[in-house]
Amino acid sequence: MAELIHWQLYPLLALVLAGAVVAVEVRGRAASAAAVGATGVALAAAFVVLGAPGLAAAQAPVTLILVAMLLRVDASGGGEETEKAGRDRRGFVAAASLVFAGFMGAVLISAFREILPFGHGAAPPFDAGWALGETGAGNLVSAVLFGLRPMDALAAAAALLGAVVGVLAVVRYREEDGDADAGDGPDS
Amino acid sequence: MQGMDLIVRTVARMAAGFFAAFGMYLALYGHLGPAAGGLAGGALVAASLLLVLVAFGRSWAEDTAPVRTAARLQCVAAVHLLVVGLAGLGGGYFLYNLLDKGRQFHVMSSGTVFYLGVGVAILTAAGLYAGVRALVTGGPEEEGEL
Repeated sequence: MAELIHWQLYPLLALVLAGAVVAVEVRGRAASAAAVGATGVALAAAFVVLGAPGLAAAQAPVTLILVAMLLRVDASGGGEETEKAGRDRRGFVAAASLVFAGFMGAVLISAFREILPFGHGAAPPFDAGWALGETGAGNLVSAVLFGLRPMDALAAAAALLGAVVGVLAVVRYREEDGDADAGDGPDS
Repeated sequence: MQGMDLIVRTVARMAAGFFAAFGMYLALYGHLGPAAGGLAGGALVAASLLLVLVAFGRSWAEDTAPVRTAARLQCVAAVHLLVVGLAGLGGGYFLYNLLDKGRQFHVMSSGTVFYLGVGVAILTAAGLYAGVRALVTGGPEEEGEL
């Protein structure tokens, strides 16, 4: 396993972590969107380094759509913005978009240079009989999902957990002290 | 959210139990049979709860299946998955299948595959129910009756 860890991963993962923390902590929404973009670009670059160019090429449009949505939300909010503040914000958004597009373009080019031609794929590292014997499961899908690639299943479960916690945070579900029935209701 | 009329409530009462039972079957036998596994089974259990929520309204849901309980159950399932993963460290690496594989095509076979499937099913059922229920019936703007 050790030979699969490239040194380029460490700065990229540090950038992913730093971008995620900045995106949550920074006050301005445009700055937060820029941090999300940096996180996405670093993650896509990490996929390229790990030899998964297809995943990097999928990560890129997801990040692009996410950043565009966040910037759209930022542009539609804040009605009482002054003329100068609006100019500053638009300038920041334009500069951030250019930098973002440059980095994303570089990552995409390196991803597409490594990606296999359409219709050509690497042979899977196992066959069905081996997978069933190795995991002891009777169903090949379960054998692969939970036996051979359990990290994928764990990541999917973590994504669902994060989504639900996010929904509960957004709609402000909170437990009220000492009141079992009212505790379940919405809290303003 | 108001409940629906008598016909819908009767049909929902009859159908929800079958849906939930089939969902639990998929979750428990997912590593054996041709159909699905934890995610599909959990989604079916959540769907059966949401069917009853739509038919019987918010008051039923607050009495029988509060969001608070579902969210806690989801967290318990997440901890269960983490414990199964960490237990694998004893065999060499995270999520290593260190339990006895048993006899193929028996329920208690395939080691941690079975436990991961059940954990994912509980997490999916509780999570989908809590998330959809919170979106449908709750929010700062909709305080009181929806």
